Amino acid sequence: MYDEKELVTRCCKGERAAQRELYERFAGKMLVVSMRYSKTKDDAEDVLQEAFVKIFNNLDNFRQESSLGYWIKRIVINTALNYHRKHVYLYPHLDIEERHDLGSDDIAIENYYYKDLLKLLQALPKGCQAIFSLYAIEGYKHKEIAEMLEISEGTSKSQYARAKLLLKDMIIKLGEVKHG
Amino acid sequence: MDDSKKHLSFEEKWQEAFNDAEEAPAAGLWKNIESSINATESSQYKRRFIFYRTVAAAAVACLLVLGIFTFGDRLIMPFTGQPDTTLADQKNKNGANTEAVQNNTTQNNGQQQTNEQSEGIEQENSISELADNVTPQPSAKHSGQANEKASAKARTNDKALANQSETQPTASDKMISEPDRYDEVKTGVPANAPFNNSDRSLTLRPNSTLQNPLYSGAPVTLAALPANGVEDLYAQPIEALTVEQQIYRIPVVIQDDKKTQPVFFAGVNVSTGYFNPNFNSVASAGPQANSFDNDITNFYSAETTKLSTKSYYQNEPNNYDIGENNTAQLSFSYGVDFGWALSEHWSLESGLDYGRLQTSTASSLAVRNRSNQELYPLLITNNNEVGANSGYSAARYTQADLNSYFDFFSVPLKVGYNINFNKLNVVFASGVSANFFVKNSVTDNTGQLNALTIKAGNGPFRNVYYSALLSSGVNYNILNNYFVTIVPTYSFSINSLSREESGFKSQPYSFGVDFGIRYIF
Repeated sequence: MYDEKELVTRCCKGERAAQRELYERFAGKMLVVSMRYSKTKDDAEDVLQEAFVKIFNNLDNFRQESSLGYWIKRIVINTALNYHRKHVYLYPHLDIEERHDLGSDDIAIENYYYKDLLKLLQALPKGCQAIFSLYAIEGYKHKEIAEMLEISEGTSKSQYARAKLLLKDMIIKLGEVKHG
Repeated sequence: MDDSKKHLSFEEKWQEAFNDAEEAPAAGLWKNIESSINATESSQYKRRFIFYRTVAAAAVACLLVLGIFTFGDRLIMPFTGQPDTTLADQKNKNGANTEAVQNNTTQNNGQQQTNEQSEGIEQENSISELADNVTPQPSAKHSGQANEKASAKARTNDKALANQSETQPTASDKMISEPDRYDEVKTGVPANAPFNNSDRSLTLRPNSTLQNPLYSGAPVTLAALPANGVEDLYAQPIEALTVEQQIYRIPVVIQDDKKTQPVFFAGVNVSTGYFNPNFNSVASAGPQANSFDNDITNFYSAETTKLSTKSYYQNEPNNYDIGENNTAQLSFSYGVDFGWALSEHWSLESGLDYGRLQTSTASSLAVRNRSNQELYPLLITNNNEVGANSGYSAARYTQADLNSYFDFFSVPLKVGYNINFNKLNVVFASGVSANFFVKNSVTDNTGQLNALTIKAGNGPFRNVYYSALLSSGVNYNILNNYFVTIVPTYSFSINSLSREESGFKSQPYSFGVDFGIRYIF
């Protein structure tokens, strides 16, 4: 079990055992990250595979200015966004009227397991899914999301609002099903 | 419910839910990743192998040339000083004079004893020493009674060897090859052959009648002749000597007709070296030098204000920098060359080369084609083009190393000064080259970006730029009219590769080694 710095060094040298260890250390968490931007687990695994190939090919560019986990997560997210962008035109440059007061903070999700929440996320339209994941879970600002997705900041905000509304509806329905 | 979670915002609740979430990937996923890495590594190893193989081949070629240059003289002895009576070989070359020499040789063999008696011991010693001096064997510098016995023995040996060589060539004869710039006159050195010390020329005559000279006039080179001539060596006028009839090989520099006429040569070459497009900022407009990253030297940037106003850059307080730091990579070019040897020392060369010159660069910015959603690298070279086109928008991606290839056709014109050493020719040359831009291709190893290709006539590059050439190298005669050439060359641009309106300057330079084969017609 290597520490992070030694693990990176050994991976850069092409040591397959170290690369395998890095993969096993991060693959589980990164698969969940990938699934937040994908519709199915198969798609998420394709993204994960592509992302890890990039990670190993570019690990010597990792300057240790951030944590290794954060750097890997960025690559997984970027790969996921690029991967899905190839298939669907997701982000029209249309600003949707901003709706700031959504009243959704009262949506209770504490009792839901992450797999249930993943299913809810994957049920969102792709654009909403990505923006919601980026903003709510990864913690990006709308300006940063706009840069990443080549949309306006307003579009990011409106798509996020739409995602919250859709999630609220789904959670309410899910609660009704659960609680009869 | 945990009370602390009640105070979490909606987003924080989601973050909390996924905080430690993990999902086991499919069992075969690592295998797929491993095979992808193997494929990438094998291509990298292949490129490294090509590099090391090229370096090894160059090293072997250099060692070979150095070895031949260093030890070649031991194998190629234009002058051995060994007695040789195979005058019949030269019959066609020397005509009637040779026949006269043969006759004289026979005559003198018969009269040898008489000559020795009549000319005296001292003179005989001198002649023996002359013979010894001409041969590579060390000998006494001055004549004297004490040397009589040894000198007589040496002479006897010479005569025995001369008699033997009439029917059987000596081993040293077999080692003799014919250098291009020398011819050999096999002749008898007659008694009282006049030696002109002032112009260092020698008149060789078949006998002492001073008629029908076998060879006369300069330039004549006697390989073992001392600097001040034979007179200094023997402290007496050469005319006073009675020269015993012996047969020697004497190298004679001949006036080759080919040297007075331009000699045409042609060949093929492959060049390996490093090329740098050397992008520079323009002080007053366009890209500005930027200390963006201390780790990157020679970094230049361009503001992206010319990008589509619909892009997100519009709202950025600080415009992003486009960086293009090109690092030279090992590159190859191939071509044909031809030229003329105008004189013994001067040559004129030209040719046609095609080079695919590789550099690496890095960028974390890209542009997206709005129509097909494809990502392309955003570099200093395509900034203006995509910036003026609303069909593109800017994007960020994970910083990646890019390969940038510059393809050129080049037509060099060089004047060379040649110094000849037997089979080796050292040449110093300078000239100019017209470099015709074909295309610039930028590819992304990580596969995030599509290849960007800027062709001639489009983009920021001129169709042709000129560079100065400086080179020095060697040509070695390997076989008959074939030469191998090894010529390290440095070139630097005379004018900018980039157009004035491009907003940046590109003044490429390169250093490489040309390896080639030439045929002299």
